[in-house]
Amino acid sequence: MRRRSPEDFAAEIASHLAHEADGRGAAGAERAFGNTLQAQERFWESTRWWPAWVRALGRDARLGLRRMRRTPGATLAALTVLALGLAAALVVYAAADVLVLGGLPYPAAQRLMLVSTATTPPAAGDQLSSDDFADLLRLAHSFAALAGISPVWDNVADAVGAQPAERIPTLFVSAALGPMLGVRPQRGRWFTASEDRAGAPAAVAVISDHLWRQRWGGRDPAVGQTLRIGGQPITIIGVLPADFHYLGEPLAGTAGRVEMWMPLALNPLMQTPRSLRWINVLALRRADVAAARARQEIATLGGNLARQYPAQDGGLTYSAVGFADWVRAPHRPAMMLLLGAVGLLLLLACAGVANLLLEQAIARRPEMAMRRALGASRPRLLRQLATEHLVLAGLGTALGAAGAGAILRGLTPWAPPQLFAGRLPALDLHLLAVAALALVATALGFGVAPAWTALRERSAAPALITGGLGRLRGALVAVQIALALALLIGAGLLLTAFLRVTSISPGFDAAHAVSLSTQLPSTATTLPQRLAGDQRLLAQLTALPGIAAVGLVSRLPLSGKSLSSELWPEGKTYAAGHQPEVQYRVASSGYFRALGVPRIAGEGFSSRDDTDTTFASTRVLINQAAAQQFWPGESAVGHRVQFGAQPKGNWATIIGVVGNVKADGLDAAARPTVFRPLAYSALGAPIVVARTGHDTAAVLQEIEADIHRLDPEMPVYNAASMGDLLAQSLAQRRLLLLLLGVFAVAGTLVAVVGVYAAMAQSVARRKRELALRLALGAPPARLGREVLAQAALVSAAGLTAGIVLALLLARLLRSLLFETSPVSPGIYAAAAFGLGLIALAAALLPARRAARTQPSTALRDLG
Amino acid sequence: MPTQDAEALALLQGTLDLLILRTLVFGPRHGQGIARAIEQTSGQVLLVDHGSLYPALQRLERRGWISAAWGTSSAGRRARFYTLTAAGRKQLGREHTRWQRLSEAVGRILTLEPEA
Repeated sequence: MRRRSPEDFAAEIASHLAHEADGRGAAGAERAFGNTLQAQERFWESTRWWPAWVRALGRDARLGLRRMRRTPGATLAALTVLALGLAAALVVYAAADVLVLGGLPYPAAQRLMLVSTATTPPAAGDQLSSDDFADLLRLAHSFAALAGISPVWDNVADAVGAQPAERIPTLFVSAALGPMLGVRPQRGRWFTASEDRAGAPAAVAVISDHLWRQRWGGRDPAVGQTLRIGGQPITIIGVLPADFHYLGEPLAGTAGRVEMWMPLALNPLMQTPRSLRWINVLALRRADVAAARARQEIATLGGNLARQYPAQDGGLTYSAVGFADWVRAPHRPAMMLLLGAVGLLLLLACAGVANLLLEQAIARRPEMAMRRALGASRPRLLRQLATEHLVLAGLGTALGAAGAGAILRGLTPWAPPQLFAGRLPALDLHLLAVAALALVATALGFGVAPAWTALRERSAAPALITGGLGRLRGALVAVQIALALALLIGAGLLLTAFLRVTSISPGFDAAHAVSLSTQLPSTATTLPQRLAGDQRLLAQLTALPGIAAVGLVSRLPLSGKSLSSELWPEGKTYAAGHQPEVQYRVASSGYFRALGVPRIAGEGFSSRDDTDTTFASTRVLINQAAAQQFWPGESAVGHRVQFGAQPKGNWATIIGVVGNVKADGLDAAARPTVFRPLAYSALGAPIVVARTGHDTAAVLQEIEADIHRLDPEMPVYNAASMGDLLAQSLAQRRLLLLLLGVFAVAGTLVAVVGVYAAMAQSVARRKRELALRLALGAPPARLGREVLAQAALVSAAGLTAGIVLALLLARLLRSLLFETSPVSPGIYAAAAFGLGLIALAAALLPARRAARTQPSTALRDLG
Repeated sequence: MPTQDAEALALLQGTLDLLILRTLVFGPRHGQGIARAIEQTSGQVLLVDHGSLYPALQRLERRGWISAAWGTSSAGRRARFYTLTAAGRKQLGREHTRWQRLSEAVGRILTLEPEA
């Protein structure tokens, strides 16, 4: 049968009534017919095809929605609390999953280990030499494979036609690395062991998906093509998948993308002696060997090598750590902090929802009892209560998930790429399921259970409730305040640390300074050739309009890049193996002015230092940190120093002292640093620093175009304003502060809603009692004060608990706090005072309402 | 509920279907006509709850025992006329038998004399 339309049915009823009216008159007809609406209702029910329980559920859900509309305040509060808690949890879990919790994207990630070395005294670098690596390969038995990985290599692809030269960050790696990481090229193949051998017939390379798309437009024939690097042809044999991500970039000394992978054997450093340590080693532990035994074997082999080659490897200890641990270690404290904060916030949300629903449930006891007395069956009422709360929890979950999705999308531009390394956080469905379950359980537990207990009482008389807040509800409010305070104090500590870090001067003037990297053509191999190239570059850029100063340097500040040398100050002797190290830089005379680094003592480099190699070879600048370390209390100017592992009598005189510049980030101490003139050691890969009066982005473009005009064989990369670099160095701290700040604000909001709702509902419930007391002569102000006092009492309890909680948790923050004590009374007091004030303000409105109770109406309404 | 007559009987659940089918044996009728026929034939003893009549018609129509079409009544009004289908005729036979057995059984119990 075709389904009938309700209009058709209505027409039939009308026809019936008309026939009936022929006999009895219209009123009589209707009376005889009974309730037409009811008939239509029954018609509806009979035409629906879905089962009865679905209809009942739908009806209950509609009832729930209608109730929500009737109590918009309480509903809005509950939804806010639910959605806020859930959204925050989802966002942070998503980030933590990428940074700390999730597995590495490699098939055998748990068995990957990093072999590193350490020297006593500690020096920069934890790599192995070619010979050490060869020995390990031969001797270590705990591993299925060992792969050597070079530092990142700035290969420059030669200019082809209109395409200027391009830097291609390259890693030289053992053939074993591909299978070890489970690499499956999307096109072509990974290189074989025979291609990773000294004297291999042809140089081959595997490229990244990014390079493939950028240089070959993602077209197929990249494989088999030749790329010329310094005139030497390199055959491309494979393209990596787009989602392949190597997590060892920091090992290679870069935060950027690795674009090309070549066999380790092709690296020019392979022939260097045992004393030059440059290889990072990644090892795949055999499945049948325990991690402890593998570590033990590496340590033993290292000890043997140190005894065998005391001159090169003496004082060197070997160790192996889990690769996953190593990758995660830098983010662990921050993510643990955030996960803890999420836990607090979720608890807070649950407490808040519980409190709101508890109050509603209590308020509905008379209603439930009444409906029971009117004949509603208990399962029927329970079903309705459950449905209502499910609707509430469902709406809250949906809002929370949608909010989290929006936040994650909004957060993406904020997420520092070097932090998330290409893999962006996304909504986690498992956590969504778990959190939604927790919220639903809370909603059902605190919403349905109390109302349900009322159903056991048979009478319709409202259950007698004692005055005041009630112990459970007071405790719930106090818990919310305690948790919110802990979050606020945490955020306060982080904010203080952040402000302290940002108030530190980087040692240079970041405003209007820009920098970019370039490389001289590969034909410039000798020092005079490189010097001529550097000078040509300087001359070209100095002539650009709008540039106040320009300089070249070997390493930028805040990059965390290190190149050190042993320092031999004249007249000072150190124990063998304890020769001090300093950071070693080459800079042109204009560098200090371009970056805005002040001169503290003596003179600076002159233009002759940029041109005259003989003149420049005896001159050196040092920074304040070096001056204080080696010549405390006296002028360093005029002292002579030598450099290198074994000095050969090439003395250089300190001609001046410059200000400290932060090399590793604002929160790290400046390291002793020396600067040598450009003419002494011309730069093959100079970093250009320029000071400009106007728009930095435009200037960067001009400089880039200018360099390409000068020589298309020179690539330009890492172009950025110094202000951006400064901001980038604070990215993790800022993100962390932002997230915890959001939590603290959300937590405070939830707690305030909690206090307000609890006090308001308590006042509403006590209306009759308050009215009676007013009628008996109690002064209204006193009733208001009583409500406030109650709020104050609960808040005080919550604040006390919150301070204790914060004291316990703040210890875990210590590593993130930078010179801020985890127990700073000021922050604790300010947070507690502020939150207390807000809590009392939230109680103000209910207090006023209590004081303004009209005895006559209140008693009439409820009597 | 139209209960002007205290003696009038409310229909036993399930009997309405039977009575509708039975009424339609004499030809197509519209809803109001069916109700009137039942009331008249029963000598005004059986009152049809008109609010239940249409859901019942709906039910029977869905089961394929009656079919419906709009037409014009003797009063010159548009009305929806119901006709007994072949399946409905069969069903009537079954229902009829069942009802007779039931009423016989009930009648026996009610007329049972206490054993002397």
